[in-house]
Amino acid sequence: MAESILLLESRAADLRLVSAAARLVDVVCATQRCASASRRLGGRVAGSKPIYGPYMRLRYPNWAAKYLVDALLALTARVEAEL
Amino acid sequence: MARFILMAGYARSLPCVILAEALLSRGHEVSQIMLVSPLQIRRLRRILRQRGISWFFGRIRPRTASASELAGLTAEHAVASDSLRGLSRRRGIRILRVKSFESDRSIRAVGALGADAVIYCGGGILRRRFLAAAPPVLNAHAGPLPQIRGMNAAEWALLLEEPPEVTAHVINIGIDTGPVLLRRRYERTGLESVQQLRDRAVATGLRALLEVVDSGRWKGDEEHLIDTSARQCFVMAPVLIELVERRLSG
Repeated sequence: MAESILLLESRAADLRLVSAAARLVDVVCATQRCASASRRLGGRVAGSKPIYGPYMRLRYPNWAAKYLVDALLALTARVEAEL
Repeated sequence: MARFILMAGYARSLPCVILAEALLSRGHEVSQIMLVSPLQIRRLRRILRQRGISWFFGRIRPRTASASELAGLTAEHAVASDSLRGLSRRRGIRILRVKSFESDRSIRAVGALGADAVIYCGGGILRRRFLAAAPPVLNAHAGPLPQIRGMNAAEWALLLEEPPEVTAHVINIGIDTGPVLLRRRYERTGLESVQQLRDRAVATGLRALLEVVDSGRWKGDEEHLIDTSARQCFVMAPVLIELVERRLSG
């Protein structure tokens, strides 16, 4: 959703939309688990919040981390353009 | 002489204390201060979700007026206390603690006191029931209206390249859509942090509200309702707050 908002914002620049995207990314970042005994699991993002909730119960889908990275890259590029 | 009710969102609301002292020194009456009780789980959760934990700790720490833009106003109006409790003790103003401004208790109180106007210093969005029962509610919005409606108005005005302006208006059912009473500009020069920017906007807002009170024209003109076509501003993301800091510093 954050990426979609940034895509919309790229057509009609408005920092209010960038703020909305950044706050969404912040919410997901707050749930990301960076520490892990296994390197394969570092940086994982749960499919549900709480993790036992509906949709992807007790799982860490690969696309959750992928979309987070995509959104972070798009957001970083947009904010850097303002500097 | 007019009779006012003040509304505050927390007990250490320095703007509310300054405003009360300024009104009293002008010979007005402050009938009551309505204070939303901060110790409510629902309210704390909403505030933390919107503004983060740093905002919460910033509110707990005692704020020194000497270090802020409000220092000039505290000296001007000989403000001796930094909390509403201290003000209440010194000046004998009753503080009414309510769970929310929507509660039956606050609606009964605001209607019963026969005040000429209510001045808003925080405490959440006012809904239809409260506004219907209350006399005109005056507010100083920290940004230019109608361009910047909503939260973090001073910061959004800077980021969106709008003029540094405070708008005194009458609160109505929309978000910052009520009739405009007065506009006042302030300078952004010499500011180094977002907190200083906010404080300068608050200080300008307080002066604007006192001008409105002095002029006695607080009923507002319904013909000058705010145009709501501009996108509303919400709580600014931390990354953009950093951007504001950078722009201020250089």
